[in-house]
Amino acid sequence: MLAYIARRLLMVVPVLVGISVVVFLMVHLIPGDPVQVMLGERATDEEIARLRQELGLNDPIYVQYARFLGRVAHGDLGRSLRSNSRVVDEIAARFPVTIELAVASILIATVFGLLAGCVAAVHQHSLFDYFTMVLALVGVSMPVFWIGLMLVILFGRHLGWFPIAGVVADGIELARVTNFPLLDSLLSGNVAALRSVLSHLVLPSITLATIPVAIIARMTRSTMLNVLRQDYIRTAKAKGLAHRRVVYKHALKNALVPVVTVVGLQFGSLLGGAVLTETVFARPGIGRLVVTAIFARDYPMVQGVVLVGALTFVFTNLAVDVLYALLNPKIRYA
Amino acid sequence: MADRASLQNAPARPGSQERPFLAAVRRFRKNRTASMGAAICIALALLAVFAPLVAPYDPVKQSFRDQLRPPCADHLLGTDEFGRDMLSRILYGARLALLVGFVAVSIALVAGVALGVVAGYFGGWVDNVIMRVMDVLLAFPYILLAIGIMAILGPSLVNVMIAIGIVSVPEYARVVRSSVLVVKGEDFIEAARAVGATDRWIITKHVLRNCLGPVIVQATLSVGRAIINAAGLSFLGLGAQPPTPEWGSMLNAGRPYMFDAPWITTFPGIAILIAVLGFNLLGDGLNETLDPRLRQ
Repeated sequence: MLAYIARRLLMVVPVLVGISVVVFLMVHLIPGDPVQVMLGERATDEEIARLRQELGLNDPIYVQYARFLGRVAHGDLGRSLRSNSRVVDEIAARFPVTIELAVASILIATVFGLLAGCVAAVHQHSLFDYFTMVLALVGVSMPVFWIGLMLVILFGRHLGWFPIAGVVADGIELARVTNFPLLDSLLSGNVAALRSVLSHLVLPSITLATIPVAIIARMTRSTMLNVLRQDYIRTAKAKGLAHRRVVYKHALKNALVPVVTVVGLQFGSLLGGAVLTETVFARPGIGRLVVTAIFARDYPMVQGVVLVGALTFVFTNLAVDVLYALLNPKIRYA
Repeated sequence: MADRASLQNAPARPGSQERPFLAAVRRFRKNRTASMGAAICIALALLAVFAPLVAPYDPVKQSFRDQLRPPCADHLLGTDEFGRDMLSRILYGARLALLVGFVAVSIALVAGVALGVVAGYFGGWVDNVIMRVMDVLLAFPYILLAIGIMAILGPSLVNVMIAIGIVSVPEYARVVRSSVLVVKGEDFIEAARAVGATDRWIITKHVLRNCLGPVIVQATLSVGRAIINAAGLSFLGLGAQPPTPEWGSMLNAGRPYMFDAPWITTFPGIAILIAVLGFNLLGDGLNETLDPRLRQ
């Protein structure tokens, strides 16, 4: 087991190096003079020369890369070209908002996906099964941002059930301890803030959950169908165990193994999908941050967000693999 | 055809008389998922090609008298903030959606298949280098990498196609490489080599032909995803720019009016949904008919 984890950890190293190269090269791949692009048409030669010196673009490329690596290793992602604040600080302030959204979405997706997939498999060929699978197929084909807009129109405007923008209502002061809005309102014991944060989270997290819920439901159904056909299920039934016990204790437990992988992978890609959801709901997460940075030609900020996003993705995938090994004895003893 | 086949392997076993291609076509037509997907895709393609004939209005012509009109007899899907006919814009949008889908997938297909074949066929350090680079590309969340590429190239619809194409390369490389590895071990490759066939001949005649199935399935499924992601990038303002009738940028432009004129943000989304659903159904159906393991 330890050997497996060690091997899996070692495999991450070249990927990390590759990510750092790609992120480093982003600035160098800009067609034309990157400094000119960053500063815009009206920049004077003097300004261009100064920024080029500042960014160290006059040095040989391997020196630049080594310096970049050294800086990143010390947690320094440079300064924003617009606000001049440290990129790390801005990301640290906004990433928790994105993580909270992603966690809420994956929770919703897992609960409903597992439930629907399970019931559909147990009642295969029933109306519920048919309905769930059609819905799942439509679900994976829906543009996330459009679902968001539709939810805003329906639940935000017409029914007026939930707020449609931001993280917390205007006028409510959020204590800033961890930068996680939900956690901060809990820690400070501010009930009004907690309710406001929760209600602001409902529509975005449902929006972001649409695709994973469909994928998890399909995956759960197909693995459950597979497991339900196994001999040990027949044995359990033959022993006279209750149907419920056979399904939820024997079958579901084994069907969960591949589902865990899917949940983990979905969590990683949710960080990407959050870009669109945050735009629709005007949530100040890193998705919103990177889009504004692109329009502002704020390359250090774009590089920072892409780097942090990729690292998060890699390490969630790593965690999923380790968890999978823990759950699946076939890998553990290999 | 059946005569020749039955002569070749007489006594004919039932079911073995058809050529594999015809058998696949027959299975495809019997498969409901595949037929439905194909029907949607063909309808979409026809509407896109004949958009100038089908569309009742010019998609970019503004008419300030007709601003924000709800769906009515003159404008079946209403009009937008510039008085442009939504139905016409959506029909023209189908052209862009299909164009983006096919160009992006073609970029990914050509590069991915080439890399996958080279990696799988030649193995060794070539394989190692190519696949490690693919691993790095896969280490980025899909949309985030596309956004990063857009940041380098700058906003435009052409750059969206390039970005989505690049992001999808590793999937093709992986799919192709794994089927090449399977094919490479077959006896007929050994036989071809024994009679003096060159690598190039073996690759084009045997290897490529045998990994066609998975590649077709992958390509169909990724057209749908390319359409959805291109619309997403345009929605963020990184892709098609106004007044281009592109579905994603139409949704974005309609946002300020979404409470008073919800049809502007409703119909382009339904168009995206139908298009993507069509390609997903077609892809799933093809997968069921082409993959021997899923064949009942």
